[in-house]
Parts: sequence; C-alpha cells; structure tokens
Amino acid sequence: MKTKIEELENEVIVTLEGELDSDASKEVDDMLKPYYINGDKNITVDCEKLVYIASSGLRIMLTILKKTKATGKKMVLRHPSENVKNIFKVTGFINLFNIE
Amino acid sequence: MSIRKIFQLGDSLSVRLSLWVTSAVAVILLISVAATNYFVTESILSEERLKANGTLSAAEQRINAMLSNVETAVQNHLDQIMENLDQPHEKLYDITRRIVRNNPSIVGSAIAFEPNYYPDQGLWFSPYSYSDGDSILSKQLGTPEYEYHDMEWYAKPKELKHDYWSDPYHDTGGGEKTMTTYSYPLQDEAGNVFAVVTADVSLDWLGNLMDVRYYQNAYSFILGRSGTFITHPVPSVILNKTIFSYAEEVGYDDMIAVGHEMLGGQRNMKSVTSPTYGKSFIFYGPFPHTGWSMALVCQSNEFFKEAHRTGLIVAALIILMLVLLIVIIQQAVHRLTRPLATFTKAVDEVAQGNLQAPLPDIHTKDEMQRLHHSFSIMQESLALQMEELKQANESKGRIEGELKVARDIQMSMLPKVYPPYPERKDIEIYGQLVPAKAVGGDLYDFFIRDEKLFFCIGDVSGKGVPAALVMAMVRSLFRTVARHESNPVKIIKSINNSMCEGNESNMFVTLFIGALDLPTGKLRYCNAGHDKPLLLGSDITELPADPDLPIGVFAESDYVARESSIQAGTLMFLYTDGLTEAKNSKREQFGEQRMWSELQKGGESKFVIENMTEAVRQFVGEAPQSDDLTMLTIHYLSDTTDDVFDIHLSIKNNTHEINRLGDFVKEVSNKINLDPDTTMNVRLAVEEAVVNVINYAYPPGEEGEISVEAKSDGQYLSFTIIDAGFPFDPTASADVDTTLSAEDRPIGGLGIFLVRELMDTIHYERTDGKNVLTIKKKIDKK
Repeated sequence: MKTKIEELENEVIVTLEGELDSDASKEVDDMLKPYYINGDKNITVDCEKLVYIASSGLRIMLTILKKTKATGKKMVLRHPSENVKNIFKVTGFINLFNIE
Repeated sequence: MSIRKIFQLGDSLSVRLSLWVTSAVAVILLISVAATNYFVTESILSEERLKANGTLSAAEQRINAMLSNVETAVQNHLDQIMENLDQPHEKLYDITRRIVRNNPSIVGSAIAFEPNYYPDQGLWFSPYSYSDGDSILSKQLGTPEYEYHDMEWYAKPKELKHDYWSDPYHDTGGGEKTMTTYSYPLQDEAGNVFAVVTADVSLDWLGNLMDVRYYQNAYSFILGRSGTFITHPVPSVILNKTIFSYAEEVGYDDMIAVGHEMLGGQRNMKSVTSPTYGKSFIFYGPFPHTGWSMALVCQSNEFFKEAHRTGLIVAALIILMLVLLIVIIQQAVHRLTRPLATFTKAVDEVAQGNLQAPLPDIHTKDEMQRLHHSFSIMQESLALQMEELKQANESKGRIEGELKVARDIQMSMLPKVYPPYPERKDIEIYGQLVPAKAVGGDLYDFFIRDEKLFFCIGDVSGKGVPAALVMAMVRSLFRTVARHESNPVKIIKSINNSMCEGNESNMFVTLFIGALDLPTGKLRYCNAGHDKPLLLGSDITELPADPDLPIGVFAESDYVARESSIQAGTLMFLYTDGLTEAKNSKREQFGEQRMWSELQKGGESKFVIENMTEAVRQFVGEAPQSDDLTMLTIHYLSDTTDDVFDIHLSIKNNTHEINRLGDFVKEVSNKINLDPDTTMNVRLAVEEAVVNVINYAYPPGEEGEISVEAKSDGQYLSFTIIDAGFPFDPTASADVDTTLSAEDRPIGGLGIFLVRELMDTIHYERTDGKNVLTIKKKIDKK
C-alpha cells in the first residue's frame, strides 16, 4: 500500500495506490489525520490506482468528508476503479461523495 | 242473489250509498203509505156512512111527507064522513071522489063498512072512487068475489083500532102497480069499528126515491115488514121475493144476516160479497112509520176509486222521487269524492315510484283535508325512508366491498407462491388457509433468513374482521421481530408484549413459532398455546411442545425455549384446530384420529395438505364451515451435494493477519477460476467477517484463534469462520440506512452490512461453545 500526500496552497492531494485493507487503514489514517483533522483544507483523493478498499478504509473517507463539510471545504474522489466504485454504490457512499 | 250481494253490486261508493239511502227512504215511504191508506180508508168509509145515512134520511123524510099527506088527506075527510053517514049513497061516494081528486098521490079511496051496517045495502057496502088517468070513476068495492072483510087493509086496522099502512101489494086491477093502502078505522061511541076509510097509494115513485147516482153501480132497495122487496132494480123480484129467498136463490149468503138486521129495525153498515156484484158495502136503516127498511148497496171499489187514483199518483211520485234521490246522491257523492280519484291517481304514481305525485287541492275542512294532510305526510315520510334505505344500501355495499378488499389484503399477507424456494433442495413448503368467513383469524407465515427457516402458525380467538386485524398485526410483528431476532422465545415474548399493550378487546392468539436451521436441521421453537405440530418420518410423532399461555393474555409471561433436531426427510405438519374441530351436519368433529389416519398416507408437502383438505371436505359434507382451516407442511430434505474442495486457514485475532486472509481467498478463488471482481467482493466480505471477530470476540489483549474454512460444492463457495470467543450473532445486527446524509451516517456498522450485501447467504450458529458463521456466494460458472 502506497500513500502520497501533495500539499498545495488551498488543497491537499492524496494519492492512494494498492489495497486499503483493515491492516493498512490504520497507517493511512495516521498519515492523513494532520491534513483533515482541522477540516481547513480542500482534499482530493486520487483513487486511480486503489484496487481494494475495506470498510475501515470507507470509514476514513467518511470521516474526511464529515470534517471538510463541517467547515465548508470540499472533498473530491478522483478516478475510482470500478471495484471501488461498486463498493461505494453498495454502501450508498456514491451519493455522498463528489466523484470525478 | 242475496240482498247483501245486491248492495255490493255497485263497485263505486256513490252507487252503494244511493242504494242504501234509497232503500231506507223507500221503506219509510212504504210504511207512511200503508198508514195513510189505512186512515184514508177509514175516513172514506166514515164519510160514505154519513152520505148513506143522509140519503136514507132524505128518502125517509120524503116517504114520511108523502104518507103524512095521505094520512092528513084521509083524516081531513073523517068529519064529513061521520056527518054524512046517514046519506051513504049521496054523500059517501062524493067524499071518496073528493079525496082522490084533491090528492094526486091517492089513486083510490074507499069507505068500507061492516057487513050489514046499512041493512039495505047488503054485506059489502063500500063506496070506492079511483083515478083512471084522466077521470075519476066510482063503484062498489065489495062484491062476493072481493070479500074484503078478511083482507089485511081492513082486518088489521079494525083489530088494532088504529090507522094502518098495508104491506105493499100488486094491483092487478088498474095496471101493474105496486100499491099500499092507508086504512083508518071509524069507531062508534062504544069504540066498535064500523067502517074503514082507505086511500090507495101507488108506490112506483119509491123506485126513484133514493138518488144514488153519485155512484155508477150503486143501487137501493126497500123491504117490507115481512122482508119482501118493495123496490129493487130487478123488477121481477118486487113483491115476489123476500130478501131471504132471493139471497138463497143467488147464493148471496152475506145478505141473509143483513136481512135479519134490517127486519130487526137496525141501522148499520156491512161489508158484503155479492156473487155478481163483488165486494160491496151495504148501508141500511128502518122506516119506523111503516115498518119498512131500506138499504143502499155500493161497490167498494167505487168508494175507493178516487183514493186508488190518488194512491197511484202518489206511488208514481214516490218512484220518481226515489229515482231523483238516487241521481242526487250519486251526483253528491261523486262531487264529494272527486278528490279521491286524484288521490287514487297519486297513489298509483307513488306505487310507480314517483313520490312527488301531485295531490288534489282541498278547500273544505273535512275528512278530505285530513286525508290530504295524512297523504302528504306519507309522501314526505316515504321519500325520507327511501333516501335512508338508499344510504343504508350504499353503506352496506361499501362494507361488503371493503370486506372483499380486507380478504384480499389478508390473503396477500400469506405466502402464496408455491413452491416458495424452487432453487433450494433442502426444503419444501406448502401452506393453505381456508377462511370460515370472508376474513378469518388464522395465520401462518415463513421466510428464510441467514439459512434459517422462520415459520409460524397461529389462531386468533374469534373470527371475522376483528380477528383478521389481530392476525395482520401478529403476522407483521412476526416478520419485524424475526428479521433481527433468531430466538423463537424472544420473538414470542416481543409479540406478546406488543399484543398485551392496550389489548382492550381481550383478544388472544395461539401461536407456534419455529426457527429451523437449514444447514444443521436444528429446530428451535416456542409454543404459545397452539396445537403440537406432528412429525412425519418413518412413523408419526408429536413434536414435544407442551403449550404455554397464548399470547395477548399476560405481558411478561414466561415461555419455554425448546429445541429439537429434525432428521433429513422429516415432514413437519402444522395445523389449527379448524382441522380437528371441523364439524359435519351431525355436529361430529373431524378429530385427531381421522387426521392421523390421513397422515398415514404420507406424500410430499403439497399432497399431504390437499389430501387432508379433501378428507375434511368429504367429512363435512353440506354443513357450513365453522372455523378457519389452516395447514402448513415443511419437508426438510438432506443436502446431498459433495464438496469439490475443503481447505482451511487458522489465524490469530490480529489485524496484521489480514494479509494472510487475503492471500487465502485469492488461493481459493484461483481454484475455481473466480473472476477478479467477484474475488474482490468475496475477499472484502470474508475480511469484514474476520475483522468483526478480531475486534469483538475476545477481550482486548487476549489472543485467540480464528479458523477459516473454505468449501465449494461446485454451486456455492462458502466460508465458515469459527471462534471460541463471546457468543455473538452478527446476523442480528441492525441494517445500515444507506439513504442518510453524510452528516447523519455513523462511521461504524458497515462491516456486517457489506458481508450481507456482497454474499448470497449468511448463517450463524453457536455450536459447542463456538461462534460458527457461514457465508456463501453463488458461483457463476462461465
């Protein structure tokens, strides 16, 4: 699992690559927390190379969404694969997230 | 035809009324006429009597006057006779001539002496003068041929020494005349009669004496002292016959009595019947002077001729009046009852359904107005009631329609697609409910959740709509509660508590709930007062399920949790008491014995119920169905498919082990050539199930084993996750609401939800102190 964080002036771009399973999600969450904990930045998550996501991963996404929404910032999911998109559909997340 | 029929002849009121009134008037008139007739008759008779008496008196007076003249004429000459006795030839003839000449009514007069009164004149000296019409002739009366001394006119006055009128007699000398003779005896100083002076008087005028011309057929007659007719309309009887001989001759019996009375000098009136003359009245009275009696005879119908004529006129007038009366009454009744015709028309129209039919205008304040009043009230009341009836019918129709809808709704609550699980080889189910009324109080239901068959059968107390409402409620509660609760006791308790809340109508339900674990055949069940199900295997046995209290009786009732193992091939037969208590026309019950013997026939689930239904139908016959008839059969079959493979992984309760799990799933996936998308979904499901165990099964910090088995029979890919941690049924967790907004969505709870969504079945069992969770995915063979 690879996680890349790119911080711009008004935006943080997170690129996830590989399988975000229950084991990996704690590490990823620890890495992202500083960027979303205050909710003061627009966050874009690039999912193009994310092939797998477990419920723990979904929880991270939902937490980021809630934080940004609370401060009026934006969160965008970019280029999710069909597999990941399917999981978002099953859980109803597809209607909550701004997906590009 | 009887009188009653005559009076009912007329169909109309006017005819009947006029007949009645006219009859009454006619009777009254008849009585009046009869009375009038009687009094008129009496009055006429009385008048006639007066008239007759007058006639008789007049005749008597005339006769008396006549006779008195004669007597006076004779007596006036007596002195001359006495003075001239010494000159018999010279003077006495002269005197007789003078008597005759001076009195036209005297036709002859004689002075007849005793024999040898004048010795020289012989035995029969008797100067006699008589009128011969024009002249007066004289002669000696007595001759040897006419020896007068013994004759009545001479002997009788001589004997009486008193003047005397002879009985009338025929004078044969000077023509056929009826005569009478007045004789006056002359006496000497010694009182001896020496001569009799006579005057002959013709009685022909007597025949015309009595004027009875005021009657056409009246006649009169006079009788002499001996009853001889002196006058009579029949000349031949005059002086020839007495009244008695004549009466006998002509058969006039009534006249004999009359004759006796007449000769007795009586004055009277009598009603007689003459053989030739018919019914007559005879008036009679005496002439004391001569001893005669005279009579008037009148035909009675002549008396009453006028009265009869008047009577005829009166009768004609009466008939005319009666006819007039009938016409007047008919007109009057017709006029008075004219509104009735309009009423009749209105009633006809009302009968045709026109309640607004116009009524006649009534201006009089009589019965017609009251009828008008009653009639209009009737019209209004009818219209009102028709409207009410219409509304009642509409609401009745609505209720019937709603009952039909209620039955449709009720029936739609029951499982109705059979076989319900055509793809499953381990279970066969058939159910049937025949309601006694349009809607019934029985229920049954079943569904499979997480490889467990939840089923129930129940009977609500009572029937009809109230029972159906409770049935619907129980069925909904069963579905709702059993969706997340696998323990039948808890399901029953939950339903019971809900039922007891505000159960004011005190309805209760006998309910049997079972949860059959399909992979293992383990049956958990609870019986709230229902009939025990039967198990049909190699023989028929009852499922040990002594009933607890029906639900709806006491909240917080205790219910016994029971468990049994169902062998593959066993058929469960559940029923309500509508089966065993089905009654035939003799009020006999179908009973358990018949049920058992029908069950002996065996067969698959549908056949058992159809066979039982037919048996009940034949037993009941024509009798009406008294209760709902409900049956449910569950045939548990063995799953005979063999596993293609069976591999095993054991990991610790640590998330770092997840990587191993992912590899394990990929390995399994490769074995059956599963496509990458499905593989990823299966991996996610298994990972979520295992993470759930890692997070919750063991206390934090305690190490535990988690065993993962993977199997496939070629149709399904199944993973069984086993741990020895706290009992925990993940299938009982609540559903995730995927429609909530981001702000409202909880962070957790997605794991088991994903398992359900991504796999085809999920099944949990706590077995031998271990949690056993089996999840299956159908393999799409490509």
